[in-house]
Amino acid sequence: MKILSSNELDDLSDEDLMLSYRDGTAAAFDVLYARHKGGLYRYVLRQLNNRPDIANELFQDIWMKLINARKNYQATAKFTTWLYHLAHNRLVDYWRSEKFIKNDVSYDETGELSDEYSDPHKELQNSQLQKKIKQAIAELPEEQRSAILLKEEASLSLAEIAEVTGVNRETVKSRLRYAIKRLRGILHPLRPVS
Amino acid sequence: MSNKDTEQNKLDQDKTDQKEVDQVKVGQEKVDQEKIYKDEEFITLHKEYQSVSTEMPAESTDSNILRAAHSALNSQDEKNHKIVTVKPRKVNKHAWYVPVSYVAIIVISLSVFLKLAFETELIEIEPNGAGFAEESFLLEVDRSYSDKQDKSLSEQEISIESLQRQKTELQAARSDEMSRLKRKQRAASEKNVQLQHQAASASLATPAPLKSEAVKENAAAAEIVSPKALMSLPADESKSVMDSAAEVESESGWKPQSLIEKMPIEAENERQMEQISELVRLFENRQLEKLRKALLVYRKSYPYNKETDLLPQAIQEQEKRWLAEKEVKSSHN
Repeated sequence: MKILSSNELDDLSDEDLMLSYRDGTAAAFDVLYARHKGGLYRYVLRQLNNRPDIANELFQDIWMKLINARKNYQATAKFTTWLYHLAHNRLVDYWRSEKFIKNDVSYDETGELSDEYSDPHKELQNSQLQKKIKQAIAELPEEQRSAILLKEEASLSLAEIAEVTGVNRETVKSRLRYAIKRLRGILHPLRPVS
Repeated sequence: MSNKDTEQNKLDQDKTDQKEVDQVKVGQEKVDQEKIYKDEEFITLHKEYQSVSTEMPAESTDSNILRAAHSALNSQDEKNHKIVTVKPRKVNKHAWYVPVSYVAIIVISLSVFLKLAFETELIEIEPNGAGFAEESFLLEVDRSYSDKQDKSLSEQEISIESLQRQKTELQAARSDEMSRLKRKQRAASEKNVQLQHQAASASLATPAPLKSEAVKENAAAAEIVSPKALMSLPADESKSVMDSAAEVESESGWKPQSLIEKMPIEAENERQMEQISELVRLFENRQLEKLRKALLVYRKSYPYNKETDLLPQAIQEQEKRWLAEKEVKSSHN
């Protein structure tokens, strides 16, 4: 087995990294994880109405699923699509098992993130707009929220979002339109007048 | 060649069509995405969202996941290593389960063999036994009623019930007949013993008178006939032989032959009883064709007599039915 340097690994695509990890290169997984941990975590967090405790648990489950499924991995589809497909399924399972009532917990009720997640833009995060954006996303219907988050966090195309959520492309398109319209309605009054 | 060319052309055409469709799809996708993603509102939202969306998973979660990923690979390596290096374990010949499994195999195979053997034996036996009696009876009922398909189900059920009732009645009648025959047989044997005693006392009291020629002839005829031969004779003939022997005995007090003493009514009754029981069995099993033949044979020996006939009522009725059918057929002919 050829041992790749960290620079070489950074140049590899997601699919190649996953194949490399499947074949026994542990460092490939580190690179892959570093690439996708933020987006995936935020996707899960938003889907759970910003509840970090459950989000961390489900996030870990999703990666464990990926680790266990590495032997059967084939680079037939885009890695991101596969990863978010796993995440979507895990969330659906969670909602089914917990009989999760959507939109019942607002961001304000769950509180802010802990200090360990804070970054230099703390000032901005604490602003009214930041709160409002997160709250607006949390208030979206689950389908629209999924679509917009997959676009925002995973940068998936319409077809890929359709594949992850199990609907057709036209449906995804209309969901995105509705989501944007709704967010615009919520956020418009807060924007500074140009 | 022309066919191949046309096929090739078709394939090429299909391929180009597919390419065009794909291109159109991709173009459409791009257009759609441009429409949505290049929308001013969306860009503004996107920027706003990206500026605030900076949460990351907990460090403990990161370390857990990375550790799990690495250990999964290590365990896989260990497994592979084990597969390569460790020799396959030898089967311990002294393990307790080896003889137990052998014994289990032997017991199971033996039981299966015995079961199969007994089953085949039973299949051979059962057609004449009681096992199939009910089945054959029902089959016969079905057959007898197959030509009357226009009848309703209830009527068929009623007739089946009546046949079953008839069967039980027949069994009761059979047992009655058997007991009656046994009684008769006992009475006959007692009578015979009495006659022998009387004959013995008579021979002791007076000397044997001179025998006439006719009496001698009868005696000679009686002497010739052995008990076995007598049994094989038809009923009326054997009866005449028995009568002649009795006549000789009563006139002269001399018995033609000692073996004849054992012969007479007892054996005859036994034979008749056997025949009757065979007929009853055939009737019970609804083997009507065989019953008809056996009845014909029986009637040769024991013609119908309304008062003294020993056959069960049900068989007599069946016989009457056949006779009636025969008469109807003959009248038609």
